Amino acid sequence: MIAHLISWLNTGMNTLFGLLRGPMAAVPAWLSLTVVSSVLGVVLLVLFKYTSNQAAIGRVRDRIKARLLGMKLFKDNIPVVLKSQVQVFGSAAMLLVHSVPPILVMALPFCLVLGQLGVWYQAKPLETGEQALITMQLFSPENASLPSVSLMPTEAVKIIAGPSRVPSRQQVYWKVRAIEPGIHQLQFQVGDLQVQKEFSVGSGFMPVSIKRPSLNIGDLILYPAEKPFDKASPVQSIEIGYPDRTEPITGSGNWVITLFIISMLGAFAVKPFLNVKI
Amino acid sequence: MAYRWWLRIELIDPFKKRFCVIMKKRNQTGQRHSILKTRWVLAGIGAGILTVPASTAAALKPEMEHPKVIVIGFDGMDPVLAERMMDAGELPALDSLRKKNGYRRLATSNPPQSPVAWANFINGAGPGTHGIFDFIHRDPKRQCAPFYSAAETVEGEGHFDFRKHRLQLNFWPFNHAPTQTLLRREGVPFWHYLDEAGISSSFYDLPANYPPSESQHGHHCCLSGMGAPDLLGTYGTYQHYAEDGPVRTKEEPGGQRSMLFFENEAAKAFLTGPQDSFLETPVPIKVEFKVYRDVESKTAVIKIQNHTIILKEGQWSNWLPIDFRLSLPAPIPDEHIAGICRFYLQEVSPNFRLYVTPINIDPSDPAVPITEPEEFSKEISSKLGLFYTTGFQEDHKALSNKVFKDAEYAAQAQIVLDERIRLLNYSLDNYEDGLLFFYFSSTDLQSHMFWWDSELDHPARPKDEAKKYFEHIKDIYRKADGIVGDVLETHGDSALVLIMSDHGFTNFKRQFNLNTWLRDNGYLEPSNATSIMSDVDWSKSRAYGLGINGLYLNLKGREKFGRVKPSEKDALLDELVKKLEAVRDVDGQVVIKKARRSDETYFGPHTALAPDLIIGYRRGYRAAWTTCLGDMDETVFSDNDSAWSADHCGDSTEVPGVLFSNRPIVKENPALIDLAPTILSLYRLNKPTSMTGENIFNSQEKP
Repeated sequence: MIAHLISWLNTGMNTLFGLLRGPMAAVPAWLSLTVVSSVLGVVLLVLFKYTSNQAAIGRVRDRIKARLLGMKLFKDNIPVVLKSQVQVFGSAAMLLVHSVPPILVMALPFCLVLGQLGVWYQAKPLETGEQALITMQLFSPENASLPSVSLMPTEAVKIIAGPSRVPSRQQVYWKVRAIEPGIHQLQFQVGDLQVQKEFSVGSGFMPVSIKRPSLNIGDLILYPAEKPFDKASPVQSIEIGYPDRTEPITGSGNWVITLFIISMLGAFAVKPFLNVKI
Repeated sequence: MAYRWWLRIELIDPFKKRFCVIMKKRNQTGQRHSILKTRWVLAGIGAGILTVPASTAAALKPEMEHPKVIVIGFDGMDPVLAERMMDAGELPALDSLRKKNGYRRLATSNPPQSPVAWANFINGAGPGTHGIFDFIHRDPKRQCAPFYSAAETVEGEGHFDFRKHRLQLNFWPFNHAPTQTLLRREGVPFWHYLDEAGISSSFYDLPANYPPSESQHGHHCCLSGMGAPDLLGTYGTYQHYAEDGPVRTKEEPGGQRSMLFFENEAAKAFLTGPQDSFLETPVPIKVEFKVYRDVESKTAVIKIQNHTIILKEGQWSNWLPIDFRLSLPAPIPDEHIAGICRFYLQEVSPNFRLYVTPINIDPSDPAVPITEPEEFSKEISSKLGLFYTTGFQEDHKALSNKVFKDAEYAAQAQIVLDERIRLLNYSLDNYEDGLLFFYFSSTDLQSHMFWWDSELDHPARPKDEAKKYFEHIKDIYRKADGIVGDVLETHGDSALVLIMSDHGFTNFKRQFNLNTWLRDNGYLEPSNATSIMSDVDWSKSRAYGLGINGLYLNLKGREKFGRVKPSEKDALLDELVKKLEAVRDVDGQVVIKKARRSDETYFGPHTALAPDLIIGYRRGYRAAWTTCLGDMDETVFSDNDSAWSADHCGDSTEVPGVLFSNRPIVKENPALIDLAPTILSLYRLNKPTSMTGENIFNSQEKP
């Protein structure tokens, strides 16, 4: 049920981010990541403002300030200091409690956005001539032999090796070399069924769908770009081993950390103007 | 050779006296490098100070442009074949140099073995200055215990036992001495003088230079070549897995074999890594990997650590980084060292066969320094990716042991050559001025296996195949010519280009067992002895052979069980020279062209380990495989039936090298030892007194 809901939401998000595809591809990756992270920070801040109890948060923060002042004024009075410390910790815990509703509200859209951004920043497309591993995860009843599987000939890739069947893991592998730049659809014949998988080739900045997933919540969030396979489908996922994209701003580390830092900076920068209590 | 890692406590906050216990994989080179880095920092500071002493200023101006000199070393390029091919118009680039009086045969070292020859090149003088006389030396204090001549592993001293672990703590009060690998080449390498004068020099794959020698002034960088080990501390140990392999992993020279057992077309195996040297009883670190084969498509999927690769029969994987975990006692976190290897799927069925290259030191994260400065290998790797870092890259042992077929060896050697051509292009792209040296092993290690310049029967393969593979050698010469052509085209106008080889090549048809001859002629006792390592009566023996060209007297006061009195030495040597030069093969052929007395051949401060006689074989002959490590055969002569069918370890006059230059060569009979003084003179540096070579151009001529 939840998986279907996420799949449905992904369709909407794909449409929304599809509109951004042109502008994002037109600017350098570091710039788009900076802008997207900053905007995301501001949007999350606004969401926080309207989904949290701002009055209650304000009261708790005032209480913390009061206790800190108490500790400063009565620093020679150990019982007062200790009591104030306990109350500061208690208030901090209350702040966390007040953060729970907005976090719950924001969690799903945030994860969906993160998944969409991952399509851009997680992996880079194959360069022409570069090789990659394709892994197809099959699902067949126990002791049943694997169906016949083939990757249909295409101008986009050249098959270097495979299909290599691993019955014990219900997997089939190919090694392919990218030939033609562009975003292609690879066609696979699995028994009587024909399935597709997006395949990105090029040296520019373009979206990359690493995996066409099954109806698995985690995979749906991480790999939202393509329609998932049904639970009953003989194919459960097709994954392409794209190379990781270098974090576009610092050149090292993970882009998600950069996104968090920039979105926080963005949020803190506009916080005074939006009068939000965190 | 083993790598030692040890604990170190460092003061991380001098004010609060906080100490941190850390693991170190430091060795001498590591220490030196930190000094080097400090020097660079100082150099940066010095640039902003006007009052720099003149000598320091000279050393700190890398921006000054110096003449360009490019030296390309083709190990073992033979003048006879090169001249024949030039005459036939098959080597146009080299021939263009010859036509401009830029070609000579290059006299090689005595004996003409690569470590000796390259050390001659490095020192600009003979073995008496660098102390390398053969691949193998012996320790006379232990009678004839052999060791590799160019580098030595000195075992550490002291340790601290903790549960199952043995740790070396190199700080007070323990002060344990770590195990170290030391470069045994003595003397001053010629780049030291360039370094001192602020002239940059870069050496790629330089033989006889592991561990990489230090740069005193920061103007020298190098990547170690021949002599650099793999991660197991050997000169290359492949791993071979096959369904018909031995149940228990079996070691063989240069490799090891294991059996793969498939169940439901899946098999589990282990990759053997370096020793876990922190354990009280070190054991090799094993990394499990799984193989899934698809007989129908003749492919296999290999899963090792976080890598999944798929290979079709006959395909090679890319380089894979493999992580090896060294265990440490809790709570100290385990250490990790990085290796790289490639998989080659030889056959899927009926007998599944999988070859894994020796585990090379990862250039992007070297466990021990293979370059000077240490960051140099990382820098190369960041641009080129991973590459072979062992000194012997062509896996000739795999061919000798029949793991490879001829074509497979040729294919593997081609991978090496392609990789090295990419490295050469990298070196040229990053070359501004000063000296650039680049070494190719293809002309040597492929010639050893494929050379057969004769109508006589080849020791290991049919005539037509021998002919086919000799054509392959000619192809390599053509490729070498192509490389030279490219270098001349891009740099010929702006740089002096020298193309050289350390020695030539010849067929290796017949083996001469020196120790058997010595035994049969009463110099080694008893008459039924089989090895100088086991059953020789030293109290009655007067001489023995060790290494490829060395003959040693069992000299009193030098050898542990010495018997020959120093007063008898001269007469005995003269007697041996006379008898050895008179040796004839069963068909009456002369076997030994010259047996030279080392006291008349070697001069310099480092002759202590020199053999007493250097046996110079005629073309077609060489020391028997068995005699090199002291073993005796039933007969003195035997056919060489090894895949290693060509060699150069004969008499130095039989196998000269080549020297090409894009500038006319003046000296009529140049030698390897002339190149270093020539290069120094091109930079207007005086020839050091230790060098005996001469400028091959004209000492008055300026670049």
